[in-house]
Amino acid sequence: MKFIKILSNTFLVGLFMMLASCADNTLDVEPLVENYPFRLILDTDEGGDLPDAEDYGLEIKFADFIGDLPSAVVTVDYEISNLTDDMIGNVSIDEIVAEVDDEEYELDFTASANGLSGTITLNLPDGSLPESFEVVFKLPGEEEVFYASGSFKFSLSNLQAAGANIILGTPDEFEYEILDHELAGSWKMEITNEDELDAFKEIFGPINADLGALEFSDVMEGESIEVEFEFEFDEMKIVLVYLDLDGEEVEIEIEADYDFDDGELELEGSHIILGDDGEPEDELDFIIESEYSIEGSILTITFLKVIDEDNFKDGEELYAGSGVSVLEKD
Amino acid sequence: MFAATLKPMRNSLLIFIFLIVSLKAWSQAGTIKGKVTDTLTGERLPGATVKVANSTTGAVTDLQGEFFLRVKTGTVVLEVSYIGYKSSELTVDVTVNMVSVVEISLTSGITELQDVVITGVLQGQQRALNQQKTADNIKSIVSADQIGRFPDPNVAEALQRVPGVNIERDQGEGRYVLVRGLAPQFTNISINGEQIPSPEPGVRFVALDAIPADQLASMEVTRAITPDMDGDAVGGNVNLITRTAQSETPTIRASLLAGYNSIVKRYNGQGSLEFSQRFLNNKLGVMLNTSYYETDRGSDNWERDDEEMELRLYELVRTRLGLSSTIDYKFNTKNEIYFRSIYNRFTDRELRSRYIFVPNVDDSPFEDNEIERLTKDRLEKQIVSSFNLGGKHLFNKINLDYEVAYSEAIQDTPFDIELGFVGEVDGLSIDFESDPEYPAFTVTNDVPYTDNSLYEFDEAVFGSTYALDINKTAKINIGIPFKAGANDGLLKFGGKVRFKEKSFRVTEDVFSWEGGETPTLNQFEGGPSNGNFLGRYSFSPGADVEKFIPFFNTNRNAFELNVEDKLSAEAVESYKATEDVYAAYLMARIQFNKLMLLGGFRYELTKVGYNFNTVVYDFDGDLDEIVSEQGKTDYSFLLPQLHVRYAISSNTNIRAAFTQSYSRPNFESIVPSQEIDFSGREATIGNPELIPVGATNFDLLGEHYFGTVGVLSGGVFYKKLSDFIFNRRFDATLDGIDLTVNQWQNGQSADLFGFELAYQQNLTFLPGVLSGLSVYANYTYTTSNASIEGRGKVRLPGQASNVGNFALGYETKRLNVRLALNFNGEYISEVGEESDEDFFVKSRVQFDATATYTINPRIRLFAEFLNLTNQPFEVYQGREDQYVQREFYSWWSRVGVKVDIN
Repeated sequence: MKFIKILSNTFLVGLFMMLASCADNTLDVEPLVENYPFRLILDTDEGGDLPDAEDYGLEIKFADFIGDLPSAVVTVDYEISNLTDDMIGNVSIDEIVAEVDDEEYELDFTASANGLSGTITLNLPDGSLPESFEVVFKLPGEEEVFYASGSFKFSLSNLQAAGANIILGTPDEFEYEILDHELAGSWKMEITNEDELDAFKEIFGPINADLGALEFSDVMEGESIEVEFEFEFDEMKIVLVYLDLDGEEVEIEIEADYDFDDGELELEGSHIILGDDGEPEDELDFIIESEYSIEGSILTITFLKVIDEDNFKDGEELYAGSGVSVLEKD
Repeated sequence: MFAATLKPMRNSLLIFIFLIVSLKAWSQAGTIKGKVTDTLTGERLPGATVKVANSTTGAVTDLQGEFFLRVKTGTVVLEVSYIGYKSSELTVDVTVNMVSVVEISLTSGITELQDVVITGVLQGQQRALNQQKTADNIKSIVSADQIGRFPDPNVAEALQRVPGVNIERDQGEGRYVLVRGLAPQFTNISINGEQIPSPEPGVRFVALDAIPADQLASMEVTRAITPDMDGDAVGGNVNLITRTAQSETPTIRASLLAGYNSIVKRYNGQGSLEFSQRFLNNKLGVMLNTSYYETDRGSDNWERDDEEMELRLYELVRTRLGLSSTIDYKFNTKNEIYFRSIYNRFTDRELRSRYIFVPNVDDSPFEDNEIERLTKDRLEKQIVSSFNLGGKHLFNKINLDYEVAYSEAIQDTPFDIELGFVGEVDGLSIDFESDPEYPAFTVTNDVPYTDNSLYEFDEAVFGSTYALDINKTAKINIGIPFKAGANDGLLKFGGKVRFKEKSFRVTEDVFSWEGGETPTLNQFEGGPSNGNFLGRYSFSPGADVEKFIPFFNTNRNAFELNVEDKLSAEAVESYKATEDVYAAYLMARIQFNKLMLLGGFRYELTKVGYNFNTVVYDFDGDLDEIVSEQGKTDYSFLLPQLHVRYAISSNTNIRAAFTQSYSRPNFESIVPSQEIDFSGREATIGNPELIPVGATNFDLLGEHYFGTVGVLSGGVFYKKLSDFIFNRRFDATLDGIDLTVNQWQNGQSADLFGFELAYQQNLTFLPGVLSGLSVYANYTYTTSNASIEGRGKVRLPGQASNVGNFALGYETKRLNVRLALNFNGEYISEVGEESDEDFFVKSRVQFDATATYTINPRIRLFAEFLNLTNQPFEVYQGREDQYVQREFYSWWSRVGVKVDIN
């Protein structure tokens, strides 16, 4: 049986070699990426509204996921803390609502006696889970009556999901603060003729194709174009509203982040570049540099430069000049 | 599918076949079956010429040194000749319908001339040259012993020594084979005559670094195919032949090696063990072979992408495990069956650490000066296995052989993890011009770029893939010997079916950080660093994946999975395909006095089916939809082949061949997976209309073999390629939207012309100590032009004008030393839209040395040193001094002992 012995020894060596070849090829710890858990998160970790705001909605949602949400009873605890100034004793959850297929549902929640903590049950009446829902806080502000100050923190904890693969993700804390800087709120102006529109278009037309194509003759005779600059928390909007020749209300909107300091205002956003076929071809970031001053209820903005990613060198700007917009506090 | 001008050639072939088949089959014949061996060692001699004296009847011994002859009854004299051996004669009595078994031993002429210890080295060369000389078609053969003369650990590296063959390398090691300057997909790779599937997703060609060289008995590179071979071999066919038991005496071969790699400063190990023996009165043969090779390797590299510069540091551990077996059973002299198996497992654990310097060259307010730090840890396993069961039978009037085969190739990447960190710096500039070989960069920042606290976490990619390719094959060949006057002939026909299943599965999870304070690289740093990287740069440790994973696992609440990226990446790349091939052929071979003619046709029908996904992004760049689709296509080829060999003398041949062949498109090109990004106005779309590349090939070769073991050969070749495939970028309209589309398309035609010269000889005719010298040299010149829309005529990608080898050896009684140069000329690796955008791989000369000391015929010590001059892999764009990549591997070595016991 010498042959058998040689045979077996040969294969034992082969087996040993095969095992040896595996030796260095494993990870000490495997990454837990399979069946990645559904993560319940807050839409943002900070926000705010004007001093007269009576309520504020905060979206809570499941982060992007694949497939369907599991069927399980899910609860999560909440806490409202770090209240300052007028917020003390005046903040609570008013309601929690979820919109599914254009239907609005109120979610159950229990609150402590002072309303500062409690438990939210995420399930809809049919037991399923909504992809997102909104917690509506009751705030101390009251239009024309009371201008509140202060801040608070809202946090989630202790998510219970009855065995379902759901965890509490981040952000799980949110800080609310009153938006009370000098630009906050809404400022308005009117464009009443072709020259004013052309001047406005010269600045903003390159970053908004609809505005760029607008002619004053497109506006119903005798009507003007209302322009509103809305400065919200970290974001601002420029909204143009007019009646077209059919009497239909048309809205053109430009969105941007903003930053201001010592009379200088900078807007940053992105705009769509259309191809020859009129369809979007590219999306480029833009920056608008300007100066502002406020006297009483009048905001004067002097626009100095509009550039984007393809047009930023001296002489290549989308706009360079000193166009002025005068707006009145709404 | 081929030019009308070829019709006369096709018609001539038809007439040739018709005449042949109308001739008489053998009658009143007997059979001589035998083997030819070395008198001293008993080893069998493949490629020996066995001829009946004063006739055109003859045969050539096969890989086992065996032959059979159908001859007229009576007494015949066999003349046996073999390069490097004295010719011999044997008288045999043949009776009707009976088999006369003979064994013919030949005495080596070299042994007498030199009085050297038989080392096996010369014998290997002899065997290869004899097979080459007696082959019906144009081919090069490399025997196992000859492979051992060069320090080549894998099959690709061994093949680079063959005339007209160059290789593409990965991390300094040969991986893909290019024959006559044609890209890897144009060469058919087979094991024991049967095409092997590719473990890589999307393609057909096989990475030959997965196969250890010491698994093989020999390798054949066929440049002109015959009708009984697969037709999808434009460049040629590489056949890897595993070993078979030869003797009733048990044979054990073993080797044990240790190596050293200079760049990573680590040691390597290798071992092999082989047992073979014939049992039951020579009826049962068993051969078992196993080998294992582990090597630690590395490379230092810089690359350029437009204005960005990368520093790359690689460290990798590669293992090769080979197991093969051959069990054959000879029922009698006329009937035998065999079962061959081969299993190769290649693993590649790669650690790649990178700096990517991204300067804000335009001083754009929208950009920053950034430095990206990326670390990749990846394990890739390639498993190629093949199982062949077949038989050979000699009946009175026909020869029959058949085979069923199952082969499987897997590429399993269980983890492919890349961690990205980004740091912003105040100032960053890169100077590519002052020293094109080593660009200089300047970083202005409070914190130096080598400080890992500068880099914040960007994203983590956890990927895995699994590619599977299965071939199920059955084939049958029938040969009918005949006589045409006094001339011997063989009519052969057969058929083959091959069912292929190929699939690719991808998992890709990309995570971003949504937690509180962003982690920085210094929290996870580990792994290789180098303060003198490429002699001038500083390279700090990258992220250690093993340190990051526990952090990831305990902080999953803060890592967000990018769902869209996952869905789209997995959908676009994944596919399943089937390919059924039905083939039949008819051929005839006839030997006149000095002239051999072989001609015939092969017909191949291919049916392809596939499942794929279309991924559409909307105008906002968001994933819009993923649609599962399926499709099919089919095509067929009728391929005429004609080979002529004329023996000017017993050692000098003139060969000519006209052949037609084709090359199937890669799966990744033909499966119409679509990625349509309306926001980016770009789409990548497979092309189900793609048709295979057709080729018409002409070869003319002269060869002279030296009695002292050697050959001088020279020849020219021309290939006309139709419907050449290239990657085209063009404007198109989809759903009314203008897009730029990337798609593989058929081009017009391409021509390839070249000549080959090869010379190898043991210079035993030189006086005194010089008689131990030997020369091995070959050179191939190739020129080509391909018509590509928008570019006009360009050189074929992958085609090097100059490829060659020069090796000088010296052999004494016990010592064999060899210095080898391998030259790979520059070639285009990627065709740009303009000529100054073409990427070229620069020419490279590698210098290797090997030495063997024979203690006795059973024990040899050897030492091998590779890449002694630290030749880099270099890529430039447009002009020669505009480098975009320079990668260095330093030198590496192996030292060990080989033992043969029998």
